[in-house]
Order: sequence, then C-alpha cells, then structure tokens
Amino acid sequence: MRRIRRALKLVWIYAAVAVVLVWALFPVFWIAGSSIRPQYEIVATPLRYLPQTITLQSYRIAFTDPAFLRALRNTVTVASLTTILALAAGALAAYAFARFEFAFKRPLFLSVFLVRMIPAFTLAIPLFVTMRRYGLIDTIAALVLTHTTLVLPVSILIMRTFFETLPPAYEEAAMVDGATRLQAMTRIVLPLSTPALMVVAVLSMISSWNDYLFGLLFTLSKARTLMVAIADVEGAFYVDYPLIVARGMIALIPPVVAALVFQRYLVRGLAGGAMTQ
Amino acid sequence: MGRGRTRRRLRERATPFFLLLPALALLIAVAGFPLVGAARISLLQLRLNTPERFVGVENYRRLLTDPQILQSLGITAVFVLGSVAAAVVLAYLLALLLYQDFPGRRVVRTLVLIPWTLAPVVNGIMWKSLYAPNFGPLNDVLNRVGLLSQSISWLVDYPMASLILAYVWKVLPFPTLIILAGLESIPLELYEAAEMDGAGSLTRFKRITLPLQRTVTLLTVILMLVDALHAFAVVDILTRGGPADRTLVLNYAIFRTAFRYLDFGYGAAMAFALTALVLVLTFLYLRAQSEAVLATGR
Repeated sequence: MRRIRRALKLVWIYAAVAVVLVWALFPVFWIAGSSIRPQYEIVATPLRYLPQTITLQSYRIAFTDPAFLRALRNTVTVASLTTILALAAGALAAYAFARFEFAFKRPLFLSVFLVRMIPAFTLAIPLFVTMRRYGLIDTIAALVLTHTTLVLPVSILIMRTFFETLPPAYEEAAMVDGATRLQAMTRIVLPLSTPALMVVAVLSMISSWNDYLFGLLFTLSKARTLMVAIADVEGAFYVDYPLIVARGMIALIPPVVAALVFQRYLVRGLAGGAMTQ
Repeated sequence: MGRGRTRRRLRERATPFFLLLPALALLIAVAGFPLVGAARISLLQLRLNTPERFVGVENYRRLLTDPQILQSLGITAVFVLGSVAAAVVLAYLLALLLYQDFPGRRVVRTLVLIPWTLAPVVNGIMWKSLYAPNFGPLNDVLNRVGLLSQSISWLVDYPMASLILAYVWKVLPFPTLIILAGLESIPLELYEAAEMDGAGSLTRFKRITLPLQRTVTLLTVILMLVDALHAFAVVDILTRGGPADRTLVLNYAIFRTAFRYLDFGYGAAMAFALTALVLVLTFLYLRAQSEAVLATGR
C-alpha cells in the first residue's frame, strides 16, 4: 500500500517536472530550431515543430558579416577585460574589508552596496554627457570601466564573505616568515579562494556579455557590442527570422555554457551574494 | 627596533586604503561622480547641441504636473507588481517541486536555470518569435487545443501581459533558488513532528514553511521589485513602450526622454524620481535584513 502511494506520488512529480521542463526549455528549443531552418519553412502553414530541412545558412551569413564579427570581437574584448579588472580590484578591496579594521569601514561598505541599487539611467545620463565631452563615446574603454564598476559591489561582497571563512593564521604565519601583506594575500588567500574567484569571474563575464543598455547608449559603430547588433532586427525589406535567431543563438551560447559548467559555484555564491550580511 | 615597529604598524594601518584604492577610484569615478552630475543636470535645461541653462527646480515642477509621468507610474506599478507577484507564486510552486526527492532531480535543477542565464536581449528576441501573430508557436498551440479560433497579435492586443510573461519567464530561477535554499534549511524533524501530531501537508506548509520563510521571501521580493523597476531590454525589444504608450514603464520613459528626445535635464529629473523609489525599497531591504540577523542571531 505504501509503495503504491509512493509510486503514485512519483507519477505526479514527473508530470509536474514535464510541465516545468517544457516551460523552461521549449522557448530555447524553438529559436534553436528556427535558426537551422530555411526562411520558407518558418512561415509555412501548418506550423511544424521539428525542422524538415536543416541548414547552417544563417550561421554562415552571420559569421561572414564583418559588422557582426566586429561586434562579437568587441564583446569578447569588453567581457574579458571587465572580468580581469573586476577580479583584481574586487579581490583587493574584499581583502581589505575582510581582514582590516579602519575608519568608516561600515559606511564605506554600505555605500559600495548602494551603488548596485542606483538605476542605470541615473548614471548613464551624466556619464553620456561627460564621455561625449571627452571623446570616450564609442570606445571599448568606456564600456569596460562602466561594466567593471557595476559588477564590483557584488564581486566585493562575494569575495569578502569567502575570505572571512578562511582562518587568518596562515597569512600571519607567512608574515612572521617575512612575507608582505600583498604576498600573503596573493600566495595564500587567493589560491584557497578559487570557488569565490570563479563565481566572480563567471558573474562578471555574463553581466558584461549580456549588457544592452550601456552598449546601446555608449557605442555607435566602432565599439558596438553583440547585444546591440543582434537587437537591431529591422531589415530593409523583410525580416529574416532564421538569421535573427541564429545571431541570438550565437550570443546565447557562451553565457549559458559558462553558467551551467560553474553552476554549483554560482548558486552558492549568489545565494550568499543576495544578502549584504 | 622601536622605530621599525612603529613604521611597520603605520604601514599596516595604511594598507587597507591602498587595497581599496583601485575599486574606490572606479566606484567614485563611474558611480559617485555621475550621481552628483545627475543631480546637477536635473537642474539644467540641457539638450544636445544647445548651450546648457540653469533652470532650478523647473524640471521637477514639470515632473509633478506632467500627466504622462502619472500614467507611467501607473504602468510601472502594474508591470512591477504583476511580475513580482507572478514570479513569487510560480517560484514557490517550482521550489516545492524541486525540493521533492526524485531520481533525476539534479539534472532538472540544472535545466531550470537556463532561462536565467539568457541575455535580456536574447530573451526579447525569443519571445518576439514566440508571440509572432501568423506563424508563432503560441498562437499555433492555442489554436490546436481549441482555446483560440483565430490568431492574436499578442504584443498589440495584450502588450502588458505579454511583457510580464516574457520577463517572468527569464527571472523565475532567481527567486526559485533562494526559496529552495530556504526550504532546505528547515530541519526535517519539524515536519515529522507535525505529521505525527496529525497535521496535513497544507497545514504543515502554512504553519511551518511560510512563517520560517517570511524574511527570505521578503528579501527576495524587494530585490525583485528593484530588478523589475530596472527592466529595459525586454521592453525595448518587445514593445518600445507601445502600442500608444501602454507599456511605457518609468525606466523606458527616462530612456525616451533623455536619449530619443535628447532632453537630458528632464530625463535626469525623471531618473531621480526612479532613484527615490529604489532607495525606499533599499531602505526596507536593509531593515528587513537587520531584523533577520537579529532574529537568527547570525
């Protein structure tokens, strides 16, 4: 009797799981499928859910379009530089918050947290006016500096929380042996903090890669990013659906893969990062 | 020897400031300074290519009498409250399901994260193709199961609901994860004891789960409210605030005023109105959190 109840419960669970998986995966499945179909098949009636003809034509078009390639390259550059800067500046600051007592520590930490809450346009309007004045519009640097700053608060938070779980005894021992603070940090604390550094790296990379707002406002053509390029879908004569979603798929794959590979770290880091402590 | 030690202590006291320098320099240059700049701009009449002119609180006076702002606030409230309410309810259902023990649970837990990792732009493009009036799968499915007899132009006829659905689909994993983490921190003995006392599963959920999850849920809700207030890409791709301004949320209205009509002064004043809203929420968040810390003693 009990086993039947348990089996029945499993049936219900799997029914619910099926609904959840369709909900979460069908939309992605749909654009993935559309991206490898010819245009005529997408507009055919009745609608078919599995591609009848498979073609990589749209991907070929995307990867031979110089403007698209430049946008892709820009995004890779901006996301890499943002990740490196956020890791470096974030780790140093997080270490200061984790290991030192100093004047204004609490208000300083709180204001770092508040930066995360400021609406993007409150910063974007004055930044745009200033950057226009100094010729920074349409440069990679403008985006890297903005993206790094915006991801810094969460990065500092995650790394600080992690550093505080490490016993300070190791560093103290190293410093008794003559190591400097910075050496103690880079040689002892950082290697022990791989999970936290990983979370910050993946998070910075994804948030920079996925940014649309600042890319849209701060770039024109030279430094135009992938998200801005793929959002621009209005064709001159007709809308090429397979091409639009193929470009979307290219933009989608790196962050999704990164997030899934580092999923366990990410979830734990973010659950901690959601709180300011 | 004595001098060496003082020097060393002095250096040790200066160290944190050197460590903080790069991060603080960035935060001050790209966030602190612009924040002051935005306050200044909001007191100017500043349009592209015309000399700036100080107009005092004129932009704010305009803000209070602008019927479009009032309308935009209402639209924002519908979008934000609708999204967050839908997301929290769905996140609870999803978290309760993923909390169950079943073979394959880990794979399912990973797969449901996918929407969250999508870029807002990709999400917008994706939903645009799902909503397509003539050959979109949403219309097709509803027609096949007999819920619809003709195709609907979702983004024209139901723009707000369509926007909320697309937005909620993407953000849902975030509250789900937090609620799930909360569920797993509740000791199983509590449920077992209640079951022995004859409490049904609904009673257990209402009497044990919900009260213990109160603060976690509150913190999640506030974070999500802030996130929804900032929604931009999904609006820009799906509706551009239309049709006829019916989805013109405040954040998008700011974008249009500042970067389409190039009225930076008024745009900055609007941005400050949004900032004030977010600050109120942040204050509530910090208060809820310190209460949580007091309650759990952590």
